[in-house]
This record gives sequence, C-alpha cells and structure tokens, in this order.
Amino acid sequence: MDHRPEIAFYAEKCTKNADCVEVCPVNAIIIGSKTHIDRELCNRCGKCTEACVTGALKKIGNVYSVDEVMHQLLKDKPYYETSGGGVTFSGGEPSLHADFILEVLKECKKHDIHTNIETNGYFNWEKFKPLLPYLDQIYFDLKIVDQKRNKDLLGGDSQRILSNMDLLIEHNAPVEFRIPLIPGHTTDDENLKSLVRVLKEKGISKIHLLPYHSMGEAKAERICSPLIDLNQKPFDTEQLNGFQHMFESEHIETELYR
Amino acid sequence: METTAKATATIISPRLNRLKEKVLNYPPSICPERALLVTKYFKQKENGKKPMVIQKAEALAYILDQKTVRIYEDELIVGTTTSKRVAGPIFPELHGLPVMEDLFSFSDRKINPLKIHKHEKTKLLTEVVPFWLTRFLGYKAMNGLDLIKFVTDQLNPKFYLINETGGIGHLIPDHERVLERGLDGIKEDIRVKLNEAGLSESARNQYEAMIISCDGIINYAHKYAEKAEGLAKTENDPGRKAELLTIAKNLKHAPQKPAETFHQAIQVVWLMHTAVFIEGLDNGISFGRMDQYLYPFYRRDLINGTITKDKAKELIGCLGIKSSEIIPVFSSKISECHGGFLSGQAITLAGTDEEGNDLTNELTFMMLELMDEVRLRQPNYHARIHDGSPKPYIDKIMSNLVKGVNSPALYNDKVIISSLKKAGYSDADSNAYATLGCVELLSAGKTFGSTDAALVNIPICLEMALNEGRLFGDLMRKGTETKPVDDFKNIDEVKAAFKTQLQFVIDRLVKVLEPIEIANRDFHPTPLTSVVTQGCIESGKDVTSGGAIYNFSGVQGVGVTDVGDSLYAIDQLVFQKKKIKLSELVNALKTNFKGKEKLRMELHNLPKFGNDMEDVDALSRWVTDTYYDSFNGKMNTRGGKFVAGFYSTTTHYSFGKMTGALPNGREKGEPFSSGIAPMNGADVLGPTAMFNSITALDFERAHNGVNVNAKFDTATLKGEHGKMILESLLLTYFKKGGMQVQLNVLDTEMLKDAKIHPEKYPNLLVRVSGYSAYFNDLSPAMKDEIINRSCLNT
Repeated sequence: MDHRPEIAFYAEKCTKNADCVEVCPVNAIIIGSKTHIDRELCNRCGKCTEACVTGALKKIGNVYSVDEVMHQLLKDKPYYETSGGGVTFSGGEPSLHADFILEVLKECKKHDIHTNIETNGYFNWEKFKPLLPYLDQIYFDLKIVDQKRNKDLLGGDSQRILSNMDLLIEHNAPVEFRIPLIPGHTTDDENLKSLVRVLKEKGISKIHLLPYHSMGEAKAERICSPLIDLNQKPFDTEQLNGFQHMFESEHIETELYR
Repeated sequence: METTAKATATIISPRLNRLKEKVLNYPPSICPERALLVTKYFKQKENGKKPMVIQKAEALAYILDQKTVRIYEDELIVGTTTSKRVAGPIFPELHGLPVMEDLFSFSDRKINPLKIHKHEKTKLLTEVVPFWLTRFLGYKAMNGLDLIKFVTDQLNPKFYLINETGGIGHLIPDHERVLERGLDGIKEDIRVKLNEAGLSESARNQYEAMIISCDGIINYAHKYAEKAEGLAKTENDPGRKAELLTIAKNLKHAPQKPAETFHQAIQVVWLMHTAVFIEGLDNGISFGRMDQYLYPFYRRDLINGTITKDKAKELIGCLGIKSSEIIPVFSSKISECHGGFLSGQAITLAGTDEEGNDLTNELTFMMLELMDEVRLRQPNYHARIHDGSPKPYIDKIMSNLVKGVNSPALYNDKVIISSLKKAGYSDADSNAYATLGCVELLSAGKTFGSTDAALVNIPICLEMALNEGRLFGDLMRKGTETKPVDDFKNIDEVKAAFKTQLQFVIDRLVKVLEPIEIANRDFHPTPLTSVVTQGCIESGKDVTSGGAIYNFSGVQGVGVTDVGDSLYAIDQLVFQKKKIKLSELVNALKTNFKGKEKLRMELHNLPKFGNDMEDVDALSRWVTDTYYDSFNGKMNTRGGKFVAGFYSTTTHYSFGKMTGALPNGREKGEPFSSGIAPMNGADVLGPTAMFNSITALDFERAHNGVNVNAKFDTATLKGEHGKMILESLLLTYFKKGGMQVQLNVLDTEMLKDAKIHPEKYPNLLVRVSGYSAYFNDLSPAMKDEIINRSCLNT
C-alpha cells in the first residue's frame, strides 16, 4: 500500500516547456515524442506540479492538518444540514489513518456534523474501535469470502474481515454492508452463494450493490496506475437486475447503485 | 437567459399542442406594418403642430386602428403585435434606423436570422428610412459632433452599451387597475384630474393624450370583436363558432368595462400587453404577479361553476404561447449583445403579500405545470422563494428542474426584499415585489425603472488603469490619467487606479444618458404606458418625465470576476511572489502574450473566483462594492437613483471582443465570464464551492438584480434523491445570501457539444455511479457512455 500522493500527467495539456525537468530532483521526467514520468524514479515530491504552469502536471493528495481539514469541511456545513449529508472518510483505505481520522471525527462531532467511513473491512480492530463513538455510519465492503481467493486477489485474510464484521455487529455499530459487483471476481455463483451464506449467518437483511464501472480508466492512465487492468465490460441493466433478484429471493433487501 | 424550446414534454391540452406547433414552425420574421403606419402618421404635416404627447397617443391609436386584425385557428386569446404569426415590429422613430442599417442581411445573418420579403424591404427603404434619417430618437438627443461620436461609439460599444436610445420599455403595466376599473373607469379618473383648477398646459396635454390612448385600445378591442363575429358567421364547426362568439363578447365588454370573467381577464392582460409593446419599445414588458391578479376571477368563475380547472389552465397556456409569438428585431450588432431573441416577458410566481404572508395559489401550480408541458422560449417564469413557501410549491419547482424543464428561475425573497427597501421602496411594496425581463426587480405597476438603461464593460477600466488611462495600443487617452505602472507600489494602488478609471467611465455614462433621457421625455413620451403606471394620472406627468411612483435607471456591470481574478493575479505574481515586474506583465498584455504563452498559462492557472477561497473571492467582492459605490449620489432626469445589477445577456462576448488581454490569463478579444459567474471553467471544486464564492458578494446592493447559472447533467439530479439534493443545494445557497439562480440541466445535444468543445464546458459535473466526475476528466469512450445514457433517460 502506497501512502504517497500521486502525480497525474495530462498529456493533452503539456507544452513540453521542460520547467518540470529543471526542478525534478531525481530526473524522472522524460520529454520527447512520448513525454512521460519514469514512475520507478519518481519520488512523488510534487515539485514538478508546482513548476508546471500549463496544468499538465497535478498532485493528487495533499497533506493537511486537522485544523485545515476542518476549515474546508465547515464551509459546506449549511449544505450538510439541509441535505441530510455530512462528511464521508474514503480512500484508499481510510482506516490506515485511524489516528488522524479520530481527531477529525472528534471535531466533526463538536460541530454536529454527520460522519461516515468507507472501509474494506481489513482493519486493525484496536485502531478502529476508538472511532466508533464518533461515527454515524459505516460503509463496509464485502468482496470475496473464500480465504485463498481473497488472499490471491486482494492480498489479505478474509477471516479478519469476517471477524471485524462480527465485532461491529456485536458493538451495535451503525454499519451498512456493500458488495462491489466486479465481473469475473465477485459475481461468480460460488462467491455470491458464500456471500449470501455469510449475510444470513450474521443476520444481515439488507445490502448495497455497487456495480463495476470503467469511469476511472482515464485517471489510471494519467497516474500510470500499477493496478491491473480488469479489462471488463460493465454489467448491463438486465444482469444487474439478475443480481438484485438473486439476493431478494434469499430475502435480502438490496439497494442497487446505478 | 432563456430556456430552450424542447419538444419532449407531453401536452395535456390538444389545443395547446396545436398552437405550440404553429408557433414553432413559423419562421421568425420582420413585420414592416408598424413602421409604415407610424411613418404615415408622422408624415402628416398638420399632426406635427400638435404637442408631442398628443402626437404619440394619436399615432398609437392610428396603428391600433389600421393594423391587420388576425385571429388564428384554435385561439381563445387574441391580439398580435404584428401582421405575421411569429415576428417583430420595427420602431423607426426609436432604434429603427440602426436596425434598418442591415435591412439587407436580416435573412442571411448568422445570429438570429429573420425573414422579410423583398417588397417589404423596398417599402421600408423608400417610405420609412428617408423620413426618419433626421428624426429618430438618437438624432434628436444629440447634435453635431456629439451625435457622430455617439453613433460611432455605440456601433461597437467598448465602454458601455446604451439601450435607452431605443426607448425605455422594461415595465410591468398595472393590469390590476385595468381589470378592476376598466378603461372607461380610468378615463373617468383622468377626467376628474382634467377638470381640476390651475392645471398646467403639459398636464392637460398629458391627460388628453391618455384619454386618446384609452380610446385607441377600446377601438382595437372592438375591431377584434368584429373580426371574431365575422369569422363566427362563416364557421361551420359549432364548437369553434361558440368560441369565436365568446371572444367577440369578451372584447366588446373588456377592457372598456371591468373584466367579469377569468377568460376576459386574461384577454385584457394580453391585449394591454400588445398595446404597450406597440407603443413603447418591444422589450422587457412583463406580466408581473399574474397568479395573484387573476386569482379573484378564477375563484369567482369556479364558484359560479362557469369554469373548470382544466379550462383555466388552458387559457393561461394560450397567453403563454402568444408571448412566444413576439420576436425582438435587433440589428446584427445588437444581436451580438442580446442574442437568442431575447425579449424577457417575465411572469412572477407566488411570493408574499404586503405584510409578508405567502400567496401561493392554484394558479401558481397551473403555471408550474404549464412550463413543463409547453416548454417554449417565452414567457420567462420566475418563482419567488421565502421561508414560508409551502412544501408542495417547492416540490413542484424541484421536479420541474430535475426533469430538465430549466424553468422557473428562482428568486430569494429574503435578500431581494431587503435590497429593495434599501433602494427606497416602502416595506409593503418591497414585500410585494415582482420580477421583470431577465432578472430585474421592481414594484409592478408602480415602477418606471429603465432596468436595462445600459451595460458597463468593467474590465476595460482595468486595462486603462494599467496604461495611464489609455487602451492598450492607443495614443489617445479615452480614460483619465492615472499613475504609470512602474509607480504602483502595492495592489492597493492598482485598485485605486482601477477605481478612478471606473468612476470616470460611470460619470461619463451618466452624462451621456442625460440627453437621451431628455430626448425620451421630449420626443418619445408614452401616454399609454403612463395610464398603466401608478403616479402618472395622479401627477399629470408622463413616465418619461418622472410621473411614476418609483423611478430608477438600472446599469449592469459586466466582467466582475475577470477583474477580481486579475487583481489577484497581479497581487500574487508582482507584489507577493515578486516573480515579475508589473511593467513586464503589462507589456505582455499589450502584445496579447506574444511569445509569453508560458506567462499566460501561469496566470490562467492561478486560483480563481468560484472555489470558495476567501482571499480570491474578496477581490471580486471589492469590485462589486466599488461598482455599487460608483453610482452613489447619481440621479437620472426622472428624479430616480441609478442602481446596479449584474447580468450580461450576451455582452460578455461583445465587450470581450473590444478589450485587451487581462492579467487573469484571458487573451485579447476573448469573452468575459457571464453575469456574476466564475471565469468559464475556473470553478473546479463543485457547486457548493461555487455558490459559497457567489454568496461572498453583497447582493443587497444589487437593486436591479443578478443572474447566476448552474449546470448539471440529468443523471446527477435523477430520482427523488436527486430532487432532494437539488432542493438542499439551492435553498441553502439562498439561506447563505444568494439572490437568484437559474438551472440548466444538460440534454444529450449539449453533452455532445461538450465532447467536441471541452473548453466550453470545463466545469461540467456528471453523475457517474454513486458519485460525480468532471466530464472533461473522462476518456472519450466514457464520454460517449454518458452521452448514450442521457439519450436513454429522455
């Protein structure tokens, strides 16, 4: 897991004026017929993004203090109040920054702001538990039940995720479970059946379904994402309805994101 | 500023559907009839001996008597401003001459082509043009060198665009008085004043002219009644025959006598509307609070059992479609400034009574339904919103907006009422305010506000401030002398120089407007408009002489945020970071960044207004405050204050063309930001950040109104949830001090355009799946997917 900011390159905006090359401390920028950043060399210091005047280089991810974050969050407070909205901690995996988030959460509660966190469930319970008193909602992703398949694809132990589910339920946490529907990975019969089994075992009667989409592909290219290209087509409406029916026939209520 | 016509809505009434199709399929045209008739009247030598106000009244009566009477199939509300279905008349005595300047190119021009027959052109050229060449309003307002200077200046407006040389218009007739008293009753009121002892000559003439205008309209109504009777005689369909007889009966009775039925009331409103158009100026004549003044008629008919809800709605729909028959005739130069056949015929919905109680009623809802069902260019529906607005009302507005009706525009009572009080309106009149034209604010039937007197190019004042009072590349000084750039020691000194230049331009504008106001008074009094404007009968004065209860001149500022962002850029690069000397920056501006593309991009990519950044927004706020201050103590010749507004129609393009490069990275000749909006594409942090920047400005001093546009794609606003989000967004923006907002929900065509011209829609937010993304950040394939999705949605 990489915590550093990403350097995004918008090739269509680049004028090849080489300001970035001058400031890059590690010589990672190569200007030529196919201008690019040598991602192996790049240390993500972001100096190039400051030097770039064309908008071709952008740093994604900034370091903020708790006060700075709160200053931004409070600007939209009136909108949270009228829309029933609030602040959602998302990622990456926000629980990796549990200490920081705890401080922000405390501030949010001081200002009566509704709070939510999106997690993959693979967190350290001891780190996560202190957040609970300050969270109004938890979105918990369920992907793959089988231990081996989970390990191979996502690199963690699915048992830890399942045990975190239990702990949250035990603590009466305001948790809502979500299943990302990823073609070829989470939607095969075997995994879906296992998911249904887990949900039933734990007495969960409602889930959110998040269909895979490919809207992030343009961004992946800009940051030379090391993630594998799934090379999948999003599900069509009929397929999505099918998943919905499958869960509902098992008496599990669904909310499908379209 | 106008909603686009879309053919997607379902129409409940087949009649409205048929009427709408007829209007949509008629090519926008020019009708020479009014021009020929008015010329014929003024050519009569003996007429010229009469007082001007009498001549004007007689000319109007003559036009109304002689113009072609048209009653179209299916119509229940009749009366036209021209002899063609969808057309504009020409006002040769006003702006008519500059319009006829491009008589030959109307049909082929790129912006808003207008159809006119060859023989009609010839007639205009031989019978109309020669006569008015030395008699039109602008000519009479000025003489000699002043006139030449003025005409050349206004052919390509640089510093300001003056609209008053084309007459004033921009009012809401006091329909209530005509409905209640009838023209006979009003004539009695006038006669009482006429018989008062010690009446001045001018008041006597005014009253006599008012009576002539009233009689002219009574005759106009009777001519239509006769026509309807004639048509009824030959009509075979018994249903239509009965309708024609009702039309005849209505017009024989009203507006001469007080209206008795809902149908009559709507007919009176439309007839008066067309007559005021024909008299004064074909622009900005609005209907005011129609759901209010029609309501007593509706209630009465409903209780009597003489009308049904559907019938009432159909009648309102008939009037709405008639308003889309009206086309303003602008020269191509002016079309560049006011594109899209702009003729703001506004209807104000709901709001409060004089004490602040909510007034939403059944008619309000009918109009909300009609804007969805009919979806035509006009009228402009404006919905008043306040803390006590009922939930179903807000709900219906939101469902219209999420469906892509793009109507109504929303007006925030809290800010507007407070603003109007500050402008000098009584508490009661402020509470009962109405909207006019595009976004203007006033008291219906009481204000003669010249709300569109002029528009000012604000950024050109910065250009002059950076060049000792000269435009870049000019030797002659068009502004006033301010310091050379090398002497500016900090941003405050730059701001001071800008302020001096702006004040110089405003002082000159007010001075140039004076003879034009006087020419309107002396050569274009409008006795009919004065009959329907409170204060004029009481005072014996024409509206153009200050007879109305409230008098103002509204002057719009254009390019506010361009200047705010430019000041920020100068401060950052020159004074804070000291990266460049001001003189170097100005030299780059003078050469339009030639060889300095890098500098331009650096300027362009600096933080901009629209992202909720306090230090950036503060400078735009300073520009608006300075603009308000520049009108302090300025009065027009009607005894009214000059008031500021912020909307640009399409002058942000035309002024942009005349203005040099700016420190915000905008190149020479490029458009400014529209209205009070952020620089195109500069707001990149989403709608709440944009709204927060906008509410950083003080709108309580924008007495003339402002325009704020927000764009969304259909999917963002989908379903009940989308509706709730939109409601929250807009109402919170109002709570934070927003004055007005108008929504654009983008349809498929616009999204396709956004793919081809990304630069036009850089901040377009689209719904992806559970979240929103910037359209331009998507790959071409993804863009296509969004476009396809929007096709499926409609």
